[in-house]
Amino acid sequence: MSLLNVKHLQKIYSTRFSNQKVEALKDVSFDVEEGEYIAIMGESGSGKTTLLNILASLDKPTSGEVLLDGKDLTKISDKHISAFRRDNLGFVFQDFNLLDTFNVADNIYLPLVLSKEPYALMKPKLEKLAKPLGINHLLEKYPYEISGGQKQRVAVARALITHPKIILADEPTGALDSKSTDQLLSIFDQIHQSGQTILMVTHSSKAASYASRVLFIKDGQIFHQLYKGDMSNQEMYQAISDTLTMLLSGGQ
Amino acid sequence: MKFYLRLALRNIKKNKKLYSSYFISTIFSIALYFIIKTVGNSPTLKGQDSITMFLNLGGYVIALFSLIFLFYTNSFVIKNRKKEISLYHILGMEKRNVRSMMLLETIVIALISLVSGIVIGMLLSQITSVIILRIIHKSIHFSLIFSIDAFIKTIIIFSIIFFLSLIYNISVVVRSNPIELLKGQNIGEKEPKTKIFLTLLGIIALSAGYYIALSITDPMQAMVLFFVAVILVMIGTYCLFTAGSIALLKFLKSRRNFYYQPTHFTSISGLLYRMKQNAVGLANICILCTCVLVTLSSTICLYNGIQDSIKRQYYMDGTITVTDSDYPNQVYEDVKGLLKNKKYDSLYALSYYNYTGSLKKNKVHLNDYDYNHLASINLISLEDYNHYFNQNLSLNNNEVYLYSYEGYNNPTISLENIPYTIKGQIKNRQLQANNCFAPNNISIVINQSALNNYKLKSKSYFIGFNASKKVVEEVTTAIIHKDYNYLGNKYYLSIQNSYEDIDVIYELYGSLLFIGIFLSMMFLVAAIVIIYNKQISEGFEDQNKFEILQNVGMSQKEVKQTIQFQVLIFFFVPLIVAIIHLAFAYPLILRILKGLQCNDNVYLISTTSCIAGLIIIYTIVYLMTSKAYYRIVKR
Repeated sequence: MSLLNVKHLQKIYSTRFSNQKVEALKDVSFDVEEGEYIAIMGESGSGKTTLLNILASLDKPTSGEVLLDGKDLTKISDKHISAFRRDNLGFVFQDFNLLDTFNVADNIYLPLVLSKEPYALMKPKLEKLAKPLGINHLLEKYPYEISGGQKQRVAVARALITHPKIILADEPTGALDSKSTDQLLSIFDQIHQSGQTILMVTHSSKAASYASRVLFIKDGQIFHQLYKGDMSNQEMYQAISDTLTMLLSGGQ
Repeated sequence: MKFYLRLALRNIKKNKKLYSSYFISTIFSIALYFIIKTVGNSPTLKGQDSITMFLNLGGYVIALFSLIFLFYTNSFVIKNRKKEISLYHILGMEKRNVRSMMLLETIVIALISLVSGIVIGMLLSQITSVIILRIIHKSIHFSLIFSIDAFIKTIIIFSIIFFLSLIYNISVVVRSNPIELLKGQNIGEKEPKTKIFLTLLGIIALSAGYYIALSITDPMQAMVLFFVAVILVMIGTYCLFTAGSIALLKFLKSRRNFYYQPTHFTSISGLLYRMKQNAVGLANICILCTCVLVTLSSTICLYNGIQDSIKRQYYMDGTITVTDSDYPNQVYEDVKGLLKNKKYDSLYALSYYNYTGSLKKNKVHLNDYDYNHLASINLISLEDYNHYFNQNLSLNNNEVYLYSYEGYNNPTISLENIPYTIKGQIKNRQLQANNCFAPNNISIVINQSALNNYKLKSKSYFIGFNASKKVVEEVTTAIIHKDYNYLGNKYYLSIQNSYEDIDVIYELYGSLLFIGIFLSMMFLVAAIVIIYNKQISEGFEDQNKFEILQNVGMSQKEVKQTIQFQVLIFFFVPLIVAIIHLAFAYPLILRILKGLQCNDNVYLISTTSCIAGLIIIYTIVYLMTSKAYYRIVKR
């Protein structure tokens, strides 16, 4: 069985003061195998953020289900949802979402502290992560003292420290310059190599070209998907660009 | 112009959340000021000097305090609106136009506040006047008229305050840099450093202040020392709130097993940053709370003690005391003559020696001003006693009879180191003779031959009688206007009309109580509005932080707990410190109040009820605030 099953997701937004309804997701189904690295691409308004929010259990679908390891995310009660999210999901956001009142180490500890882990167990976990991410010299610094690329690596460390089943990344390269983007993508690559499942929503063809599979979303539906297979990053990039052009021109 | 008016109205409506607490502050201050002025101008109170004086004084305090308080709440509003106003500026509104928009806003706000403040004030002044009359024990009908003077003064004073606020607001907006404002204040702040020196200074100042407060035994003589103690405690409070709080938080942070717990983790790190901006505010609130507690508890205690002191002092309706005269019984004859054909009873006279001195256990010293054992002592010769009260008692030279108001349980008494056995206690209040302000009151009946062993001052002569208010007044005025030159050239006549005195006491203590309550209310509302505003603006700043925390997996419940903990600290730490201050000041205040005839129990009860009342009010506002905070932060 696959790690994540998304079945017939539908999400309809209705505004409070009018009867007008917006269908953000029409009928989305796909599976994610363990160890896969998936990129979801689409234009603004295509529904990809809605999809990610539902996968992140921040939002509930109108109909359909999301199974993580066989467990239906949409059925978990509000009381348990935070703990579930903490234990099973890791998040990387476009704007890093680091807290200025904590130093780097404490920012990374945050999900563990919320799970009430004793300090003695937390420390070795951080040490193991800090070095490969290249942030071990930053641990005592505060987020406002470090660069965007460094911030995003700290955020990755925070996502990884709980050993989540899946990492959800929302435009992780969106606020980074090209050098930091390359660094981050190679880190994602390494994490992927080590067996971590990643699901990334992105605008950037370059970021998507690192993924093992790319899903294209349009008007609330999965429109197309690309497997990387044996392709190099370069070839994958080309394939993605072609698909996007096709998507934009509206052809099949 | 019409456009700007519409814009101004819409702005106020849109910023309801910000303006609601501002409106509460303005309307409350205006109503309070208007009430105190209206009541003070009432024709009923004409001639009641002490209450009108207190009301006037209270008016000044409220005006001054309103200025500071409203200026503060205004600055809170403008700080949060800077961004919005500068947006108008960027969108092409000229400075001139921004100014006229802000002017119109201020006019609208001033109009709403003044109209509702004065209307509420008018409605409440009726109730207030009833309360005042109750407090000062007057059963006359209180006529309240609409006071033009109060109306004009209220409008002038608060217009000035609104105008000053407007000038401040314009200067803030003009000086601000729009680009910086739009970017938002997301520039991280450095974690504050521990200031060991200031922390130590705070600890030393506070303990020195407490020590002095506890060691002062005679507050009247140690007035300077008392003020030193107050100032030390204030310095200590400020130092500890600014530096001590940070030192404490850093210490807690360094204790890893304590720090890395869900609620502690976010609260401690958040507080560490908040303290930098808020420490002075919290210290101010702490001192305000202390003031409220001290004023309220002591005025309530004084007022509750009135009954006691009246019972002690005014057991005769009319009294006349003649000192330093050779023919005092002429006065007695006059009084008797004046009372002829009138209804009266218990007319009597007594001659005695009156001293202020000390009573320590069973030792009496004359002319000894030991503040803690102060007593009023009457020495009466047995011969005089037998003569004036038609008795036939006898004593040995080492025996005395004793009268004591408070009760005296020792079988012996020593007078200036000469011991006597008490042959019996006389339960006749008439021996108390003079009215007496000391906490202890004893009269010793003793043989004239024994009395001659002492260096005596000249005799006093006391006349007392009970009669109706009218009769007492007639007699006392007649005596005052009599020509008593023949009494001698040094004679001193003191006349007391208890009815009048009781009125005066009720008026004095009642007005003290009224002003105490009135000002405490003002201070309390100010303290609460300040904390509320601070918390709400922090809620807006923390929105982002809590969103991140929830993204990372903090549950709604934990968010609620964190907020409650944070708000709890902001609300109750100043209150708790204020209560500690009060506890250390307690013995000192008690001593002062005892000098004013207040007893321990009354003070303990009034203090605890004040504290309890404050805690209840605080808890209600705390619950409201943490709810409002949570609503802001919740996604």
